[in-house]
Amino acid sequence: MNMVQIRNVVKKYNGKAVVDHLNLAIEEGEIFGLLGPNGAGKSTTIHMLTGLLPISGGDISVDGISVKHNPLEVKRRIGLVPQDLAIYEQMSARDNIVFFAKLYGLRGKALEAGVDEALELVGLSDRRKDKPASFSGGMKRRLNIACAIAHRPRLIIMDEPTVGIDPHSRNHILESVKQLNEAGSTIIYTSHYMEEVEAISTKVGIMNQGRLIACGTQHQLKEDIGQDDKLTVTISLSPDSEVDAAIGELLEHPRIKQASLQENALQILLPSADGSLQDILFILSKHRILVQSFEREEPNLETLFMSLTGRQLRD
Amino acid sequence: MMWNIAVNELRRQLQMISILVVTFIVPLLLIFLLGSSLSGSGKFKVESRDPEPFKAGIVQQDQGVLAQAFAQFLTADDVRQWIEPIAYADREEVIRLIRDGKLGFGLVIPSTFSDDVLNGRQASWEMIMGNDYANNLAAKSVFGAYLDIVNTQQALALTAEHTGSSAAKNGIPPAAGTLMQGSAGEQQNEAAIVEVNPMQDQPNPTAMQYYSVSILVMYMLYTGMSLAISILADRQNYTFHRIMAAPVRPYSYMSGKLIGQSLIAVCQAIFMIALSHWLFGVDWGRDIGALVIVCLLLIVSSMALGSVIIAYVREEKSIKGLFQFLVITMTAISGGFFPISEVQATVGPFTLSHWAMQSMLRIMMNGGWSDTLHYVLPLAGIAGVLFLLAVWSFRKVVNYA
Repeated sequence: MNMVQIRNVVKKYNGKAVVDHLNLAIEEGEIFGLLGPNGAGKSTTIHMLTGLLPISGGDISVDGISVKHNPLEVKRRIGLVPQDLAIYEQMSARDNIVFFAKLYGLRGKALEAGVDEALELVGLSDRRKDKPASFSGGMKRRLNIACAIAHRPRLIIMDEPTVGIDPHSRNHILESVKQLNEAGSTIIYTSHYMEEVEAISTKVGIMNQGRLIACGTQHQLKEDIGQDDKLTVTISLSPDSEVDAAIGELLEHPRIKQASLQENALQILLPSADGSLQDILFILSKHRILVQSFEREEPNLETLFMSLTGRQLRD
Repeated sequence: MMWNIAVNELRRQLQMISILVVTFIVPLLLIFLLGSSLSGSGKFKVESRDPEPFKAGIVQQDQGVLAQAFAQFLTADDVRQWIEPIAYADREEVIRLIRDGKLGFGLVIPSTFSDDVLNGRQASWEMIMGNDYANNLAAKSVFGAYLDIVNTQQALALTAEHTGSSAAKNGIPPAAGTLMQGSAGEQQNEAAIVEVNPMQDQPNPTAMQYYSVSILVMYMLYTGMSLAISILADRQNYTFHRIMAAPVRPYSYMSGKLIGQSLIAVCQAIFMIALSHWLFGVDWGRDIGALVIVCLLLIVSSMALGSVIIAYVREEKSIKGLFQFLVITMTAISGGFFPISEVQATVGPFTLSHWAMQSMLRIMMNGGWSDTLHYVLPLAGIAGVLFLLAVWSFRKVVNYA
């Protein structure tokens, strides 16, 4: 059964489509990784899904309920972890969770149990009485999550929940996501950290320019689309004009799909590096570019994303 | 949902010590400071109190015929009820003692006083005012009464001179009438000061009453600013985002905010009214119901003003600046800082503070419903218009996009 069904959804700002006829289905029990460069339409899609923004065209249903026609019922089923910290600094961790849980109608023992569970899950039980002002960035992020899950939502949407935190807190959050999923919640997870999405997602969708350009399990995507190798060539300092000319010539090569310079490393995407190494070295030497090292990566989400969008995820 | 948001609003505000101090302690301090420092300005009614004799330093340099009469005058019970005269030889010493607060008043009678009176020249004595407005008034009245006696006797003497009675033989010349005219004029001038009504046709409260009203009105108006800043803070810390993603209708959110802030304003009003009564003896009048209505109209106006401003202004500094300008300007124009009759009468009626202050002052003075209603109705009208503007701006306030 589909937990989320997005049908032909359009969102326009001043006549310009930010989300353009988007179709997507997320099954119950999945951890769905939603990827896309900045401006791809991910946040707009999430805001429409949670009823925060009106839909210009099409419809979204959550758990079989239309967001357009019954937004409050949909909101009851969702827990949103916003990208920005959305907590009251002057209230204790517990009071924050209680306040937001009450907005979902939780009262009495259900409220107490939900709040305790949420604190336990994010590892803040022993800091329940403390105010977030005394928390580290990671602890605030964990509290941000706890505020969204005390009412035991069927769908949890996490919009970049690990931005700017320490590895310990990141691992804790990723573990929490898995636990929530095991407890029965469907999760939509967006992140700029590809490795996080690879680590926890059961299914991945890639958005670009308001459209879903790829969707499936990681294995499916790599099988169907991601046949490209990523070749990283570390070069010595060379004149910019020569490097630009070399990149231009590389892109004219029939087998090379992408070529770009990241600091002193050339990132090259091609179906298989085996037959083209000679050509690449020839072009670089022709432009008097000294090669320091080569590195070849097997297809992964990062190369897949780059192959599909022509951009790095963090661009 | 609405009550959850309201209670949360109340709790968050009341948890902050700085807000508690600004909301509850500062207004009382302002009432005390303004009320006590400006009570002697002559603009307000002096509170009635039982007369207690105060020390008045008398420097009697006159050795003439009127000196003995003056000494006798000072022994009268009616005088002793007000003044405890103490003789001094040096004017400077009296001034020093008054400055130190050891004397309440000073009177210097020059050596030529009797001679001037008897020879019909302009006679004068010097009154040195003390620190207490009421004592000064009492002293001026007492010593003015003595001059009245002298003048009456002179008038009788003048009449007797024309009729050839014994008074004329005592040598009081016709020109002594100058003192009578002069002193009478002086009495009128002093009386004129006492009788000046700072609010003309308006109620005549004490300074404490007046400033209790003006500070209460000013602080009630500031609650609208608290509402606007609270909504802005929700937007800036993204809690508005989270609340709107929960099953909360926009009007529940707004109602919760309004109720929470209004409850704080109600607590503030009760606190200020009760504490000003207990600590400073401010009489708020008998009609508590009418006072409650005026306070509620003021809170509605203030909240509506806050809602309209947050719909269009999105920066804390701008919100604070705009509110400060509006509230301080309205308070000043309506005479909230210092009564200025002309400004109050001409520009005052264009302000919210004017109608709120005048309504409360009339309630304080037990002015009767018809008189009070004359001021409450315009206040209700302004509150209604502001409320409609707030309803019209509502969508803009809760628009997530």
